Amino acid sequence: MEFLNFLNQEPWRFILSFGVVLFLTLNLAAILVMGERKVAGYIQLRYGPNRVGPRGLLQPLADIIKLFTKENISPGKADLWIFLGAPIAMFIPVAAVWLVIPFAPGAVVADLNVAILFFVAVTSVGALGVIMAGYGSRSNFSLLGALRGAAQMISYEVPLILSLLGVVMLTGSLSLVDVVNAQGGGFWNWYFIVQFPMFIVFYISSLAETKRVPFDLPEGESEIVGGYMIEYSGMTWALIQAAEFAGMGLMAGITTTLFLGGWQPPLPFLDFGQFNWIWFGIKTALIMFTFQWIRWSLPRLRMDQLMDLGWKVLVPLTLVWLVITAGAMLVF
Amino acid sequence: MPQLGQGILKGMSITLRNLFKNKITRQYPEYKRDLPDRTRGMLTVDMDRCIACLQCMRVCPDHCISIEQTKRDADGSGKPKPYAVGFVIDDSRCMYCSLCVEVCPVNCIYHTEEFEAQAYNRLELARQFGERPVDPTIDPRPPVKKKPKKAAAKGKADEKADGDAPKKAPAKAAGKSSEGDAA
Repeated sequence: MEFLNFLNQEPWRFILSFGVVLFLTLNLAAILVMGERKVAGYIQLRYGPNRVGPRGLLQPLADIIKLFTKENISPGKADLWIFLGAPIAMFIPVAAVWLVIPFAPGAVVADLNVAILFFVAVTSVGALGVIMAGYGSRSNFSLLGALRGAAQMISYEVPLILSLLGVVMLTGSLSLVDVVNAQGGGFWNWYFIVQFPMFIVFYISSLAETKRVPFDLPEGESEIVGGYMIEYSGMTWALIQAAEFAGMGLMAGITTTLFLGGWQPPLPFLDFGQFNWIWFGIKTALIMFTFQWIRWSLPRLRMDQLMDLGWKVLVPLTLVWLVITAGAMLVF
Repeated sequence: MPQLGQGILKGMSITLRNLFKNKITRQYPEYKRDLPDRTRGMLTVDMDRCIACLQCMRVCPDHCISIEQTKRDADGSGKPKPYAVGFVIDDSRCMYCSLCVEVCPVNCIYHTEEFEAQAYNRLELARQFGERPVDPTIDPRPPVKKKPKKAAAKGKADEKADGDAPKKAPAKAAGKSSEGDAA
């Protein structure tokens, strides 16, 4: 008990919980890769990986061993520092945002009062990683993928941020803990009901931010064979892949926190106290499943369609709904 | 805009239904399907019926069959007949064209339903059927019948074999000459 109290002191608590969150992020990536392959298999009437361990559950472990033992190749003319820095620049922001997400009552690594601002600021660094990867590889396809990625991620940042504002207005706070606390008392208090258009816009924008189908133009394996990550191999490639999948998990977690009540149970009597992280996990997993479901159902958008959807549909929709929200707050 | 998003919903519902459908994958090593009657699997030879006519060796486009032929009185009739003491089928070269099966006058070479040809070494795929093993690394050269042309053809073939030998079997130069003697 003494020791636990000691660990609860400030520097140790932060270091410990940061380590836990980093561990969680890396594992999340591995598990999501596994989930992705399983969902892909089941949707295509296959079984997916089912050889390693019971029902193939140890497949991520085998993948990791394989990736660690692979040689790390870089192109001869690559800008080596930028080339090697890109996977890190993509992964660190994703891991950092997990710090502000509340997992359960009181279980948040850093209860920032500007957590939403932190989220917005740090996720936009992810675009930098994409540009670094494309530029540092010094390959045509990589650069094309990076340019597409930059255009897409910067465009979709606008509806993403605008769709957050409705929640911020209703809560009156930028802290994610406050946002979750404001949604307590049953699923009818969750923001996805009053902010339904914003929820849809945020969902679509987060798909685009994580560069997933139908917005996977930066990757576009049928036209630019792999986009900004063509030249990567072995562990650097694995880190990019981990960043993508952890980013997907992160977006699912943020969607849950902002619109689906975070760790709040759907009905008041289902409150498990400290174990409410189960609700957070279930909701996040459901959102992740819908991401994968969309991934294996829909075709890719064209670049102009992508830009049209972002600037001509999502941004006006969020602006209109912001005005409606403000008016409703004034009236009620 | 009544049909806006209908395609998306339709596609998503199809994939969701597929998610719970029975899978059509057959789990191969545990489940093996019945092969059709005319399956072309790995070749096998019934050596009791083989009359060592070397037709299969001549017709093989991949040169994967090589036969070592002698004369022997195998059936006790008092007349020595051609007899295959060595018979090798190199599965690493076979392309399952079935020409040898068609050409065999006594139907002694035929396809089995065995299709799992795998090995750690290419030479392991050469399957021996005769009493004496035949070196599978040598490109089999069936004897040419016409006497006058033999010398010229053999000289040419030797040149060609010398050109080919380092690629296929660098260490088997000695084996090649011995095979030439036998032929």
